Amino acid sequence: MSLKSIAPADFRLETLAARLEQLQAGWPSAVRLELGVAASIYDYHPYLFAPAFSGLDARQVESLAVAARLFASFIFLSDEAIDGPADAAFGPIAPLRAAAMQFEAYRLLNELFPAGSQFWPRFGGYLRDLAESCVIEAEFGSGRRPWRQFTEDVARSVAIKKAAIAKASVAGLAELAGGGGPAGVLESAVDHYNVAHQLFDDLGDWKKDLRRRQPSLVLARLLPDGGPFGADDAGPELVGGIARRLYYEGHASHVLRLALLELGKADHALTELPPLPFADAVAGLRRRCLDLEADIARIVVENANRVKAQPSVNIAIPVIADRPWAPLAWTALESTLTEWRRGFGEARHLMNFPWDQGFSGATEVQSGDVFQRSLLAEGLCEAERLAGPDLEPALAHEVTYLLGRAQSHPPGGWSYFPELPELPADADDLAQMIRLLCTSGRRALVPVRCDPAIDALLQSGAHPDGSLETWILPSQQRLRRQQRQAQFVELAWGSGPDPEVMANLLHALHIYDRARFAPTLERGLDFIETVQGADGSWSSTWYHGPFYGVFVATRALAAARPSSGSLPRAIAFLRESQLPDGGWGVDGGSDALSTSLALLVLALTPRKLTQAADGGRATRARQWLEGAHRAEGWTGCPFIQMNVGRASGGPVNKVFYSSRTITTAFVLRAALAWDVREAECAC
Amino acid sequence: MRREQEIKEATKLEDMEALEIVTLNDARLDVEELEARLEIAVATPHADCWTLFCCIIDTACGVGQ
Repeated sequence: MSLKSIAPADFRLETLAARLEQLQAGWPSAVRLELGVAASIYDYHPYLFAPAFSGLDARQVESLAVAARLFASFIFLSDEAIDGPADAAFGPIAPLRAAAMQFEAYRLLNELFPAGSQFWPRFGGYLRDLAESCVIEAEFGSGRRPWRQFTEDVARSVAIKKAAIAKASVAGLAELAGGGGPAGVLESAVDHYNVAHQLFDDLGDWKKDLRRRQPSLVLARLLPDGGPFGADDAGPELVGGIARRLYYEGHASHVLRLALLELGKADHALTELPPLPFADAVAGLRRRCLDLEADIARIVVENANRVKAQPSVNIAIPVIADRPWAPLAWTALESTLTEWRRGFGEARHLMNFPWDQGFSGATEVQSGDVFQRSLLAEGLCEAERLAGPDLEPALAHEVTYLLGRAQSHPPGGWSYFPELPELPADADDLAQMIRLLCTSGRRALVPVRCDPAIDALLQSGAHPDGSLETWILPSQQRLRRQQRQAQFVELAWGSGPDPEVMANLLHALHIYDRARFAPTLERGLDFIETVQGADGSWSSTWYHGPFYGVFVATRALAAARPSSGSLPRAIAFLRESQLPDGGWGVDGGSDALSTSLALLVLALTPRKLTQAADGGRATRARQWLEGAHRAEGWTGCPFIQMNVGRASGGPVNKVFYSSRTITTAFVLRAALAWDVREAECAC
Repeated sequence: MRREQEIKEATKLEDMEALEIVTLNDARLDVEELEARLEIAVATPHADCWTLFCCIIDTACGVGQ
């Protein structure tokens, strides 16, 4: 069937899959023709340009698209081999797979283009360009040519040649259309796009390229004499220094601006043509570059200003005898303060909330640190017992920051991602702030800062069984923004009680005003007891593994209902789940976060429930933590777990948040709790 | 006098350069958030789809209205 033009809607992903499966039938299953990588424009590459040509045959374009997909897969597979040791995921039969992909691609192309076609010399030229770019990169990578010679012109030329094969889609369409069409203009646009893409990718891969000695424009700007030759030379300090220059000297922004210039030229080349899907690809990359450039600029300025404004806090670590937990606490405190001086940037949670999914943040990538910094401030507050008032400026700085992040519209409260309009304030952040203000000597601020949100939650989010909702939304007279948040609770965030959030809030309310909240506490703790698992643990909606849930539930019960029958079962769960190496863990082995949370539970267990052996358990856990300490604290462990897709009833994709800073802060808190407990025992 | 002025200017310049170097070497200038931001930028978009079906959002939330 002949068509005047092929529209992108004519492409079907399942058609590509079916055609690949047909081709696969002739090969062993291990020699897979498809890569299993994420969807990309190379799944339908010729369709990006097809509307620019007339007289195309739909079946021929389909075959060209299948050949393009196969050839792109072959290139990606070869890149892995060329860039260094082939990724294990690609397997030892990668060369055979590459051969099969090429064979099937050539067979399809041979059906489309006779031997004398103009397509073949062009195609050969693209392959020769690819080969030449690889040779040039190898010269720089081996040190035969200094990186200072990897100028913008060289980088541009390498990028064009490296991705030249992408122009085969345009050349193929031109041939299928009888040699007409705007092939030259399109090839120029593809070149500009490919240069921009390469610059963007190189920026993202700068650390990987540094390790592999792969030259790029951004690395050549940072290391004109060449990279550290040998993986051992690229130690954390060197990489950290290069990273600071990358962002704070403006190299990252410069490369992004170059990419944007190229995208502008690509757009200019397309202006005289009918609307093409390729223009959407150009626009998409432009938006990613612009968003990244804006965020880098913002974060750089914020950090530079913070460094100027932040008070100086220094502690001197004393020599302490006969307090085995104190050195661990001091070590963890020192690491926590180092991160505080950096603005707790490592602990910040960044997440993508795309506009095309209905989110309406000013930027798609949202940043949240309220929950994290309230936890960290709690740790600093507890550490004042160890380090004294020297920590107060840091604590005051954090409290001021957190108060400034409150939601401005009534009933106030705090949202995990404060700038995401679709996310309401929540009980977890509220609990953190109530407790922080109460325990840091700022209780007088709680009525003004927290009461409206507490009242809204208890009025609209309390259920007859004593449970509470997590999201804080007024029941009536909702603002337009809150109406939208309520829709997103149903669509994205999920409704119903989350036991660990409730337990956190109940503990905070107990600390704040146990008499005023007595009925809520009674019913709420009943609910917490009811949802305890048969093994003595509590499952969490928003946290990975059982230990955070056990910690917050036990803390609430130990404080407000110390005679609860749930407590012995929780302690028994912990005793039974300690691993032979002394630690606790979620995914088989011990990890510092689970171990610290378990230690915190054991430390706050009422005396009458403890066993003599618990001290030994804690000692073994401490020794495990001491052995797990690294230069910058303790390795980040999965902490927050978001079950994306839960609310909409679709397949659930688990997204984890890990942080070295948060893990280290829990080590600090566990060590402090046991230091205090053992001091009390000694008395 | 002129020589003194020249020395002063030269010293000033050196001080400024030194300040720049000190600033860049300041360990308080965090890079981990920037690295995390970069990682998100280069990751395949929409790896995490909260709402599963954009059409649900279109219907319920009036996106684009």
